[in-house]
Amino acid sequence: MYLTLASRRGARSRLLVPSNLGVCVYLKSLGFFDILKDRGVEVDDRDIGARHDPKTVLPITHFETTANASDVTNAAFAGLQSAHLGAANLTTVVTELFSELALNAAQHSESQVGAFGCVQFVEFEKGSRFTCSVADGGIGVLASLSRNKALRSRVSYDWDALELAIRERVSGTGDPHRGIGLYGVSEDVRRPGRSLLLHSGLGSLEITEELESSAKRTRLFPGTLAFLSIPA
Amino acid sequence: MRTIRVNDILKDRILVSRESARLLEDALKKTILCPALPGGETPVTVDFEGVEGMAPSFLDELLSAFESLVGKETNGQGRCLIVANPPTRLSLKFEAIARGHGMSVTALPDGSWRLQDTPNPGA
Repeated sequence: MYLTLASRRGARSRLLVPSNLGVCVYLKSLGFFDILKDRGVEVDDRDIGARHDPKTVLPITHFETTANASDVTNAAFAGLQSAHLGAANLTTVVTELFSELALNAAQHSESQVGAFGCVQFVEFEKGSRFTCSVADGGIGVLASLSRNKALRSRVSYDWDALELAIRERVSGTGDPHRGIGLYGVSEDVRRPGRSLLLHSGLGSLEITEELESSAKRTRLFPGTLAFLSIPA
Repeated sequence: MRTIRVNDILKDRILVSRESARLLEDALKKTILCPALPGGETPVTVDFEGVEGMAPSFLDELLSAFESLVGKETNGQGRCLIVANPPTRLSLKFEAIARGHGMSVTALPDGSWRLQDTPNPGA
């Protein structure tokens, strides 16, 4: 995200690709290098080939508007259906959760570089999982909630903004019907083995069934990142 | 029949955005204005057959459209909407959406959802 933001502001930005070829092939296959190059970032990925990986349900994909978010979600759904990965009943669950994270980024981030989404099927030693990632280079959750005058006095830090953002009917828009998306995601995540990590500015929040939710100060992320993990 | 078939209007398998929910508004209006069958109330039904998933934002906007149309006709008294063949399970987030519109949602034996005005305890 730093590289795309720097490039957007006219600065020369360059990614030094990892020396490990396996890692490079993986990143290339995810679309990571191409996404950066499309945004003016220098990436020397010569002689690094991409491999087709059916476990990449949705490669890193750029989107800006809610219509884009809808298209990306439907592309993820098609990918999940054709790949036949994991339990069939999870296809809708994964897609719906991803859709809310993508919609949030499109509606609230005010990101000058748009947002990026990715869905993968990952096999770990402890079992297979679906992972969904959505990241933007926008104003962050604290600034977004502060757009709502009624919430401004209740949020001072990135981490307490994240804690507030997952509650029902909390939205920077001030519209009493809004503020359901992140609340819904956080409720759906409180099930065995599922987790959600939100990282915005200097704050992060993790939600699991055991932890319920835990917010803390962390390293700066220039925007908002959501990472969702669901057992397959 | 006072039924809207979502799949006739929206082609996406997963319904996501508020804008797409608003595309049902015309059909919803025509259906609401369609007189009920003699001898009883016939609630408006939105049939999601062929749809595979729905984001909460979509349902919220659909209810907003329904609310604005029905409110004009009946001052919001006795509102009732049936969601037939819901593409997803009835969870807390959908209950929260209904609450936000002064409605409650219950699952019917055939799997449909019935959304109706929450009784006012003070009434």
